[in-house]
Amino acid sequence: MITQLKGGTVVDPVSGETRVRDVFIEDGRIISSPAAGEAIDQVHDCRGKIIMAGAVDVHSHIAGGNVTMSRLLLPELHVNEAPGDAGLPFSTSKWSGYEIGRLYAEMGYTTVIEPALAPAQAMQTHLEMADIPIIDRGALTVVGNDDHFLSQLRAREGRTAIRDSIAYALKASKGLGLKVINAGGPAAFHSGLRTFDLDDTVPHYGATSRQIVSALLTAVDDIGVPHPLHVHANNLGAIGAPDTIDATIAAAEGRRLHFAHIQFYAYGKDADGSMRSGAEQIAAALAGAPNITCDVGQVMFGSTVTISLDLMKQWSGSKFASPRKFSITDGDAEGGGVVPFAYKAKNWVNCLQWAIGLEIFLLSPDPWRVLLTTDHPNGGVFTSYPDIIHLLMSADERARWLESMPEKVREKSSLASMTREYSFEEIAIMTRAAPARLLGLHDRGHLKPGAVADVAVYDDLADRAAMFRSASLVFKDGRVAVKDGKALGWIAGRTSILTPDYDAQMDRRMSDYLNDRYGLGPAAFAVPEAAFGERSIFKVEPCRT
Amino acid sequence: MSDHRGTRPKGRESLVETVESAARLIAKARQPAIGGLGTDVDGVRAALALGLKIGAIVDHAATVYERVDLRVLSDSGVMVTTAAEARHRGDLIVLVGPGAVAWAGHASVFDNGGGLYPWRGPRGVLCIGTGGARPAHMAIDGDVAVLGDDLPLDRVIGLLRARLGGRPVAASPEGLDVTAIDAAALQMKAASFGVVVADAHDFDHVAYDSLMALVKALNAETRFTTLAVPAHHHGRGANLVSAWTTGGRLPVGMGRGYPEQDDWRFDLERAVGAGEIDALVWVGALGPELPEWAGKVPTVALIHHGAQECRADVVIEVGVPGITHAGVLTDAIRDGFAHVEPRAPQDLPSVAEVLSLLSAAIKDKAA
Repeated sequence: MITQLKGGTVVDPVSGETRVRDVFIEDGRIISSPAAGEAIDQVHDCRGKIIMAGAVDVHSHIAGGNVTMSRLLLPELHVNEAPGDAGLPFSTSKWSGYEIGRLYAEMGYTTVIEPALAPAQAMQTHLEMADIPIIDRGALTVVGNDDHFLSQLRAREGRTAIRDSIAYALKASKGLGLKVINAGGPAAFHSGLRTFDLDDTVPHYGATSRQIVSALLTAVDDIGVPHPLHVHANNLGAIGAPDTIDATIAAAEGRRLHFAHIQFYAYGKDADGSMRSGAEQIAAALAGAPNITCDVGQVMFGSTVTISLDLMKQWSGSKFASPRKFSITDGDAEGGGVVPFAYKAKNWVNCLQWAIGLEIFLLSPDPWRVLLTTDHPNGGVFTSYPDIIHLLMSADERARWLESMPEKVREKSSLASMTREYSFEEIAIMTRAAPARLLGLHDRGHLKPGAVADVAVYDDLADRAAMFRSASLVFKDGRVAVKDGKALGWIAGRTSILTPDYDAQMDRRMSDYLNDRYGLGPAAFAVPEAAFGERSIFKVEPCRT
Repeated sequence: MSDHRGTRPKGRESLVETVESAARLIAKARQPAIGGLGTDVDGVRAALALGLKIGAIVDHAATVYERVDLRVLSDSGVMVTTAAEARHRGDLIVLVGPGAVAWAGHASVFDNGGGLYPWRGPRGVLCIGTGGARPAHMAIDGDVAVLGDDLPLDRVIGLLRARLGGRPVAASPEGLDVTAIDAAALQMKAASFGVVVADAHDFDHVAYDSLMALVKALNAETRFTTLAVPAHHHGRGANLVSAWTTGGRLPVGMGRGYPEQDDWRFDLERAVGAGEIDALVWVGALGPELPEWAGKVPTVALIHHGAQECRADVVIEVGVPGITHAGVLTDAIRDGFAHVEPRAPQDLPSVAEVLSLLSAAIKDKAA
């Protein structure tokens, strides 16, 4: 079956310049054009519309034990009020997996990455992701704070042994990449420490945060993980954290590294010791280090919940909980902390956080390396992406928002003087091409022949927020999934995973370890296909060679 | 409900006929309900999907877990850990209430000292309000300390919180020496990683909330956390599936075409007693058996093979996940979901299969 998207303005920097042209889909893939004489089965009139590849989110907490903990902690923030449309059961059940799939798809997002797949809880994360309809998923396996790995560092085990144990964790948990969270911090929190910096040592293991990051950077390259090590650095939210970013970049020694939600580290120190924007220091660091990528973690206003495996940060943040309740899980490695928070449009600190995020975007040396996220839901919910895009594409819109904010925001950041406006091409790179490439998902994020036919069609509205909130059409694997901003029904997406090889001895070693720790073998932690019954869930992506 | 025992299907053809009988019973109901919910992940998913389709109230039998443990989570939040962390890292295990002692005795979580963290100090045990019960099989360094054996839990927790906060209490409250309270408080503060073990059945939500507040307060100076006695009949798993499917925990009512959570409105025992329910689907693959209060309504019961006589109108024997067929269940020892292979495979339908057939046999209410 051939589908034609006729006469739209195609914004796809990977395949060429923006121009009005047709896009053709056959059997779920993009084709250049039908063969001579081949019939076109379906034509969609896209004249006057903007066509992009389906968007890709590199960091959004959409599934797993801590996400579900937030659902249980905060029923008052997501009271269900309306039935879903026919054929879309649970689509209006707030904070449910079904609602997540629908809302992402209606914005034109077709692939979303859950960034905190805890190996001991892998099954739950995958069960939850499998119940998120329409979109494709992937998850980043969290390593670096678990006893087995830290014991390897203490014992000064060799590079190959560490590579194999990390590859084991990645494969067993069915992750698409690797992430480290406040390297060593959660382990130190278990032992009673309340702060943890790059050169601090994890009690009892004798390993510093720097050593953990360095070992994992090497392991990621040795395994051939396409996505660079995804780093939630030390000192999240601390004044002076840009120095931590500089130090972590130096520790990477040129190796590939992705900083998660870098806005939360862009807090400089004013003369009086209070917070001011550190965005320029962050931008300079990024400009000087082409091996570094990041997502922003933009703050947007409203009530939300912070979900993180950074136990130390979540404990210290619990005194700011709004409403005043929180959960802390001392898990088998990180565990997790869930702390509700309200970003207030009249609070100068929250407004400054908002401004700093935008500054990072606007100072970005390269849309391929600075990606759009809110660290959903930590900085704000993912449904605020269209508003952020509008802010990036319109200096007037930014000025309008700034007008109502406390004067301190203008004093402590340079946002008001920034005139840069993002182009459609930059938006397409930042929300499609770059995250897909960064994740090693080379069959998406663009509309070249052979790409997965995940396509978003938007009305070209001056109100970019309205435009990107409700896609005119969204195709998932070539099927119409959304029309006029409304999901049409449930399509089952897939979860992309890596299956790296490692020395078979690691299976025996991990079996012994798991039995010692839990009294249970590896089968209790496995995520077999059979767990999903008739459903076909997983898609294996290649490692780098 | 009739007095006679419902017929059980023999073989797959008979299953279809029995499901059709069940569908007729449910289709004519104005307010159906799905209870028990002792089943695996796919069974819960199917029950929630069926519940939405027919506008049912859906709940699990582990109501105390929901109304105490999960309620306190949503009221004030909790600090929790896993059994493995508690075993290996905990240098003070505080058993609060008799249920905690009983569980520690049979669950084998603490029957060895745990050896992964060689730097951990000796493991102490403190029993609070356990009514004289002491752990029988725990690996302990030294003697078991005791506080408030004969006091109500809410009272002893209140006294302990007061002293931990440096506030005065009566010289000898209810026969309890203040020095004993202070000794227990000091022992808790001195722990490096203390773990409070509690069974929600020993508490009301207010006392459980107070216990959580005590643990949070201890973290100002040291590390302390809790380990809850697991919910019965896969209650935790069912509630987690509900959370990511409906947005919240059980019970939920879906009569308005979307899930609403309400402990009182959707309390099945109350609703049945009040005559609000006119058809019940009881899911008991993992148990429990049909409760007495269900006798007032027409009932379809999915029971595990070999179960005792079931006085439901329609009885359907189903397999047991992990025994007759594979399934995904929460594992209490490691506090996570695991896929379990069958130990003695049999050709019995799963709950998910029966509920899907049932759903297909019931015309959509909107249709």
